[in-house]
Amino acid sequence: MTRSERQIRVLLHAWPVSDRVERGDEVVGTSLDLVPEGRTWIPLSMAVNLLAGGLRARWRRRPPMWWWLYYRAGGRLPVKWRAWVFHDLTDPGWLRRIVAGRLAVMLVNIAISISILWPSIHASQINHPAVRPVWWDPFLGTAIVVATLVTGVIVLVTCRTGTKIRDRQLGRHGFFWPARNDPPWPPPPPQSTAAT
Amino acid sequence: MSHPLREPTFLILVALADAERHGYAIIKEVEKLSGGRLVLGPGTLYGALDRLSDEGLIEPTRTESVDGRMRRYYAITRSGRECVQTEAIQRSQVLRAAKVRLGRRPRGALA
Repeated sequence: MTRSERQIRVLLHAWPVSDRVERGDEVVGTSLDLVPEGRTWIPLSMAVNLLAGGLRARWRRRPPMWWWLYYRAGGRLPVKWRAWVFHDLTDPGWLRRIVAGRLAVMLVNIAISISILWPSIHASQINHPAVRPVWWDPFLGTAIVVATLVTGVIVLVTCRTGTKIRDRQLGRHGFFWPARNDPPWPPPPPQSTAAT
Repeated sequence: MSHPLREPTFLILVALADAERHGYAIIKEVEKLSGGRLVLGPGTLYGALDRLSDEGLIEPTRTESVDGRMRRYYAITRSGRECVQTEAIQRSQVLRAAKVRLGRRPRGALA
Protein backbone atom coordinates (compact mmCIF):
# COMPACT_ATOMS: atom_id res chain seq x y z
CA MET A 1 0.00 0.00 0.00
CA THR A 2 1.46 3.37 -1.03
CA ARG A 3 1.56 6.36 1.28
CA SER A 4 -1.13 8.17 -0.73
CA GLU A 5 -3.46 5.18 -0.49
CA ARG A 6 -2.91 4.98 3.26
CA GLN A 7 -3.77 8.68 3.64
CA ILE A 8 -6.95 8.25 1.58
CA ARG A 9 -8.02 5.20 3.59
CA VAL A 10 -7.51 7.10 6.85
CA LEU A 11 -9.67 9.96 5.56
CA LEU A 12 -12.36 7.47 4.51
CA HIS A 13 -13.06 6.90 8.21
CA ALA A 14 -15.10 10.10 8.00
CA TRP A 15 -17.54 8.17 5.78
CA PRO A 16 -20.34 5.98 7.09
CA VAL A 17 -19.34 2.33 7.55
CA SER A 18 -21.89 1.16 4.96
CA ASP A 19 -20.35 3.49 2.34
CA ARG A 20 -16.84 2.36 3.20
CA VAL A 21 -17.82 -1.28 2.76
CA GLU A 22 -19.81 -0.69 -0.41
CA ARG A 23 -17.60 1.73 -2.31
CA GLY A 24 -14.44 2.33 -0.26
CA ASP A 25 -12.15 0.65 -2.83
CA GLU A 26 -13.83 2.55 -5.65
CA VAL A 27 -13.32 5.94 -3.93
CA VAL A 28 -9.69 5.01 -3.21
CA GLY A 29 -9.14 4.02 -6.86
CA THR A 30 -10.63 7.25 -8.23
CA SER A 31 -8.75 9.39 -5.70
CA LEU A 32 -5.44 7.69 -6.56
CA ASP A 33 -6.12 8.39 -10.25
CA LEU A 34 -6.45 12.08 -9.33
CA VAL A 35 -3.19 12.28 -7.34
CA PRO A 36 -0.48 13.80 -9.57
CA GLU A 37 2.26 11.37 -10.62
CA GLY A 38 5.20 11.18 -8.24
CA ARG A 39 3.47 12.79 -5.26
CA THR A 40 3.53 10.91 -1.99
CA TRP A 41 1.14 13.27 -0.19
CA ILE A 42 -2.35 13.78 -1.52
CA PRO A 43 -3.30 17.42 -2.31
CA LEU A 44 -4.81 19.31 0.62
CA SER A 45 -7.92 20.18 -1.43
CA MET A 46 -8.57 16.47 -2.00
CA ALA A 47 -8.16 15.69 1.70
CA VAL A 48 -10.67 18.42 2.61
CA ASN A 49 -13.04 17.23 -0.13
CA LEU A 50 -12.90 13.62 1.09
CA LEU A 51 -13.55 14.69 4.68
CA ALA A 52 -16.42 16.99 3.71
CA GLY A 53 -17.91 14.31 1.44
CA GLY A 54 -17.81 11.79 4.28
CA LEU A 55 -19.48 14.16 6.74
CA ARG A 56 -22.15 15.04 4.17
CA ALA A 57 -22.77 11.32 3.54
CA ARG A 58 -23.11 10.73 7.28
CA TRP A 59 -25.56 13.61 7.55
CA ARG A 60 -27.57 12.34 4.57
CA ARG A 61 -27.85 8.83 6.03
CA ARG A 62 -29.19 10.12 9.33
CA PRO A 63 -32.89 10.59 10.01
CA PRO A 64 -33.98 14.22 10.55
CA MET A 65 -33.70 15.56 14.10
CA TRP A 66 -37.31 14.98 15.18
CA TRP A 67 -37.31 11.44 13.85
CA TRP A 68 -33.96 10.88 15.63
CA LEU A 69 -35.39 12.12 18.95
CA TYR A 70 -38.44 9.90 18.49
CA TYR A 71 -36.14 6.92 17.84
CA ARG A 72 -33.99 7.77 20.87
CA ALA A 73 -37.14 7.91 23.00
CA GLY A 74 -37.85 4.31 21.93
CA GLY A 75 -39.88 4.82 18.73
CA ARG A 76 -39.63 2.89 15.48
CA LEU A 77 -38.27 4.62 12.39
CA PRO A 78 -39.60 4.15 8.83
CA VAL A 79 -38.00 1.40 6.75
CA LYS A 80 -35.76 3.76 4.74
CA TRP A 81 -33.58 4.32 7.81
CA ARG A 82 -33.35 0.63 8.70
CA ALA A 83 -29.73 0.33 7.58
CA TRP A 84 -28.81 3.39 9.64
CA VAL A 85 -30.52 1.87 12.70
CA PHE A 86 -28.56 -1.36 12.30
CA HIS A 87 -25.23 0.44 12.15
CA ASP A 88 -26.21 2.78 14.96
CA LEU A 89 -26.93 -0.16 17.25
CA THR A 90 -24.13 -2.51 16.26
CA ASP A 91 -21.10 -0.39 15.32
CA PRO A 92 -18.51 0.36 18.03
CA GLY A 93 -19.69 3.11 20.38
CA TRP A 94 -23.35 2.02 20.35
CA LEU A 95 -23.69 2.32 24.15
CA ARG A 96 -22.23 5.82 24.09
CA ARG A 97 -24.75 6.79 21.40
CA ILE A 98 -27.66 5.32 23.37
CA VAL A 99 -26.64 7.25 26.51
CA ALA A 100 -26.16 10.47 24.53
CA GLY A 101 -29.56 9.95 22.90
CA ARG A 102 -31.28 9.50 26.27
CA LEU A 103 -29.67 12.70 27.52
CA ALA A 104 -30.74 14.55 24.38
CA VAL A 105 -34.34 13.42 24.91
CA MET A 106 -34.12 14.58 28.53
CA LEU A 107 -32.75 17.99 27.48
CA VAL A 108 -35.59 18.44 25.01
CA ASN A 109 -38.08 17.57 27.75
CA ILE A 110 -36.49 20.13 30.08
CA ALA A 111 -36.50 22.77 27.33
CA ILE A 112 -40.19 22.17 26.64
CA SER A 113 -41.02 22.27 30.38
CA ILE A 114 -39.13 25.55 30.87
CA SER A 115 -40.79 27.12 27.83
CA ILE A 116 -44.19 26.19 29.30
CA LEU A 117 -43.30 27.38 32.80
CA TRP A 118 -41.50 30.53 31.63
CA PRO A 119 -44.50 32.90 31.87
CA SER A 120 -44.99 32.07 35.57
CA ILE A 121 -41.24 32.40 36.28
CA HIS A 122 -41.20 35.72 34.52
CA ALA A 123 -44.28 36.90 36.47
CA SER A 124 -42.63 36.00 39.80
CA GLN A 125 -39.60 38.10 38.82
CA ILE A 126 -41.88 41.07 38.14
CA ASN A 127 -43.71 40.65 41.46
CA HIS A 128 -40.42 40.55 43.37
CA PRO A 129 -38.34 43.23 41.75
CA ALA A 130 -35.48 42.90 44.23
CA VAL A 131 -32.36 42.38 42.13
CA ARG A 132 -31.03 38.89 42.67
CA PRO A 133 -28.80 36.75 40.49
CA VAL A 134 -31.08 34.50 38.50
CA TRP A 135 -29.30 31.31 39.63
CA TRP A 136 -30.12 32.21 43.22
CA ASP A 137 -33.81 31.79 42.53
CA PRO A 138 -35.00 28.82 44.62
CA PHE A 139 -37.09 27.48 41.75
CA LEU A 140 -34.19 27.45 39.31
CA GLY A 141 -31.78 26.18 41.98
CA THR A 142 -34.06 23.25 42.76
CA ALA A 143 -34.57 22.59 39.06
CA ILE A 144 -30.81 22.49 38.42
CA VAL A 145 -30.22 20.07 41.31
CA VAL A 146 -33.09 17.83 40.20
CA ALA A 147 -31.90 17.91 36.57
CA THR A 148 -28.37 16.94 37.62
CA LEU A 149 -29.67 14.05 39.73
CA VAL A 150 -32.00 12.86 36.97
CA THR A 151 -29.13 13.05 34.45
CA GLY A 152 -26.95 10.91 36.69
CA VAL A 153 -29.72 8.35 37.19
CA ILE A 154 -30.44 8.21 33.44
CA VAL A 155 -26.76 7.68 32.58
CA LEU A 156 -26.38 4.94 35.21
CA VAL A 157 -29.60 3.12 34.33
CA THR A 158 -28.91 3.36 30.58
CA CYS A 159 -25.39 1.98 31.02
CA ARG A 160 -26.78 -0.91 33.09
CA THR A 161 -29.62 -1.73 30.69
CA GLY A 162 -27.93 -0.71 27.41
CA THR A 163 -27.91 -4.25 25.97
CA LYS A 164 -31.63 -4.68 26.63
CA ILE A 165 -32.41 -1.29 25.05
CA ARG A 166 -30.35 -2.25 22.00
CA ASP A 167 -31.97 -5.68 21.62
CA ARG A 168 -35.43 -4.18 21.97
CA GLN A 169 -34.72 -1.52 19.33
CA LEU A 170 -33.20 -4.07 16.95
CA GLY A 171 -36.27 -6.29 17.36
CA ARG A 172 -38.56 -3.31 16.84
CA HIS A 173 -36.86 -2.61 13.51
CA GLY A 174 -37.17 -6.20 12.34
CA PHE A 175 -33.67 -7.48 13.08
CA PHE A 176 -33.12 -10.87 14.60
CA TRP A 177 -30.80 -10.51 17.53
CA PRO A 178 -30.20 -13.56 19.70
CA ALA A 179 -30.63 -13.13 23.44
CA ARG A 180 -27.51 -13.72 25.46
CA ASN A 181 -28.75 -17.13 26.71
CA ASP A 182 -29.80 -18.41 23.26
CA PRO A 183 -27.80 -21.31 21.82
CA PRO A 184 -25.34 -20.27 19.09
CA TRP A 185 -26.66 -20.13 15.53
CA PRO A 186 -25.88 -21.91 13.26
CA PRO A 187 -25.45 -24.89 15.60
CA PRO A 188 -21.97 -26.45 15.65
CA PRO A 189 -21.56 -29.62 13.57
CA PRO A 190 -22.11 -32.86 15.54
CA GLN A 191 -18.97 -34.39 16.98
CA SER A 192 -17.99 -37.71 15.45
CA THR A 193 -18.31 -40.40 18.14
CA ALA A 194 -17.62 -43.48 15.99
CA ALA A 195 -14.91 -45.58 17.56
CA THR A 196 -12.29 -46.91 15.22
CA MET B 1 -37.71 15.79 -10.27
CA SER B 2 -39.36 19.17 -9.94
CA HIS B 3 -36.49 21.21 -8.44
CA PRO B 4 -33.79 22.54 -10.77
CA LEU B 5 -30.55 20.57 -10.92
CA ARG B 6 -27.41 22.07 -9.50
CA GLU B 7 -24.52 22.66 -11.89
CA PRO B 8 -22.34 19.65 -10.90
CA THR B 9 -25.33 17.29 -10.90
CA PHE B 10 -26.46 18.48 -14.32
CA LEU B 11 -22.95 18.13 -15.75
CA ILE B 12 -22.58 14.61 -14.33
CA LEU B 13 -25.83 13.58 -16.00
CA VAL B 14 -24.73 15.18 -19.28
CA ALA B 15 -21.38 13.35 -19.00
CA LEU B 16 -23.25 10.05 -18.73
CA ALA B 17 -25.76 10.86 -21.47
CA ASP B 18 -23.81 9.27 -24.33
CA ALA B 19 -21.88 6.46 -22.61
CA GLU B 20 -21.38 4.69 -19.31
CA ARG B 21 -18.38 5.99 -17.39
CA HIS B 22 -16.44 5.33 -14.18
CA GLY B 23 -15.68 7.91 -11.50
CA TYR B 24 -12.39 9.23 -12.87
CA ALA B 25 -13.79 9.45 -16.43
CA ILE B 26 -16.83 11.38 -15.12
CA ILE B 27 -14.55 13.89 -13.36
CA LYS B 28 -12.52 14.44 -16.55
CA GLU B 29 -15.67 14.72 -18.72
CA VAL B 30 -17.24 17.26 -16.35
CA GLU B 31 -14.03 19.28 -16.42
CA LYS B 32 -14.10 19.24 -20.24
CA LEU B 33 -17.81 20.14 -20.41
CA SER B 34 -17.35 23.09 -18.08
CA GLY B 35 -14.27 24.33 -19.92
CA GLY B 36 -12.02 23.57 -16.95
CA ARG B 37 -14.17 25.70 -14.64
CA LEU B 38 -15.44 22.82 -12.53
CA VAL B 39 -13.12 20.10 -11.21
CA LEU B 40 -15.01 17.68 -8.97
CA GLY B 41 -13.28 16.17 -5.97
CA PRO B 42 -13.94 12.52 -5.08
CA GLY B 43 -16.07 13.49 -2.07
CA THR B 44 -18.32 15.72 -4.17
CA LEU B 45 -18.52 13.19 -7.00
CA TYR B 46 -19.54 10.22 -4.88
CA GLY B 47 -22.02 12.29 -2.89
CA ALA B 48 -23.69 13.32 -6.15
CA LEU B 49 -23.58 9.78 -7.59
CA ASP B 50 -25.15 8.47 -4.39
CA ARG B 51 -28.00 10.98 -4.57
CA LEU B 52 -28.58 10.38 -8.27
CA SER B 53 -28.68 6.60 -7.70
CA ASP B 54 -31.19 7.06 -4.88
CA GLU B 55 -33.38 9.16 -7.17
CA GLY B 56 -33.16 6.52 -9.91
CA LEU B 57 -31.48 8.86 -12.42
CA ILE B 58 -28.34 6.74 -12.82
CA GLU B 59 -27.42 3.15 -12.04
CA PRO B 60 -24.18 1.23 -11.58
CA THR B 61 -23.62 -1.22 -14.41
CA ARG B 62 -20.35 -3.15 -13.91
CA THR B 63 -17.07 -3.10 -12.06
CA GLU B 64 -13.53 -3.81 -13.20
CA SER B 65 -10.05 -3.66 -11.72
CA VAL B 66 -7.34 -1.71 -13.54
CA ASP B 67 -3.80 -1.86 -12.06
CA GLY B 68 -5.33 -3.01 -8.78
CA ARG B 69 -7.70 -0.01 -8.68
CA MET B 70 -11.38 -0.76 -8.60
CA ARG B 71 -13.62 1.03 -11.09
CA ARG B 72 -17.39 1.01 -11.14
CA TYR B 73 -19.23 2.17 -14.22
CA TYR B 74 -22.42 4.23 -14.10
CA ALA B 75 -25.08 4.67 -16.80
CA ILE B 76 -27.95 7.08 -17.09
CA THR B 77 -31.47 5.66 -16.75
CA ARG B 78 -34.54 6.52 -18.80
CA SER B 79 -35.83 8.95 -16.14
CA GLY B 80 -32.34 10.46 -15.89
CA ARG B 81 -32.37 11.10 -19.63
CA GLU B 82 -35.81 12.74 -19.39
CA CYS B 83 -34.56 14.87 -16.50
CA VAL B 84 -31.54 16.08 -18.53
CA GLN B 85 -33.78 16.89 -21.49
CA THR B 86 -36.18 18.94 -19.36
CA GLU B 87 -33.31 20.77 -17.69
CA ALA B 88 -31.57 21.43 -21.02
CA ILE B 89 -34.76 22.93 -22.50
CA GLN B 90 -35.23 25.18 -19.48
CA ARG B 91 -31.61 26.31 -19.55
CA SER B 92 -31.71 27.00 -23.29
CA GLN B 93 -34.86 29.13 -22.79
CA VAL B 94 -33.08 31.19 -20.12
CA LEU B 95 -30.03 31.47 -22.36
CA ARG B 96 -32.14 32.67 -25.30
CA ALA B 97 -33.88 35.24 -23.11
CA ALA B 98 -30.52 36.46 -21.80
CA LYS B 99 -29.15 36.84 -25.32
CA VAL B 100 -32.21 38.81 -26.42
CA ARG B 101 -32.02 41.12 -23.42
CA LEU B 102 -28.29 41.68 -23.75
CA GLY B 103 -28.76 42.47 -27.41
CA ARG B 104 -31.29 45.22 -26.64
CA ARG B 105 -30.17 48.80 -26.25
CA PRO B 106 -30.19 49.70 -22.53
CA ARG B 107 -33.36 51.58 -21.57
CA GLY B 108 -32.74 55.34 -21.14
CA ALA B 109 -29.36 55.29 -22.91
CA LEU B 110 -28.55 58.18 -25.24
CA ALA B 111 -27.70 57.64 -28.94
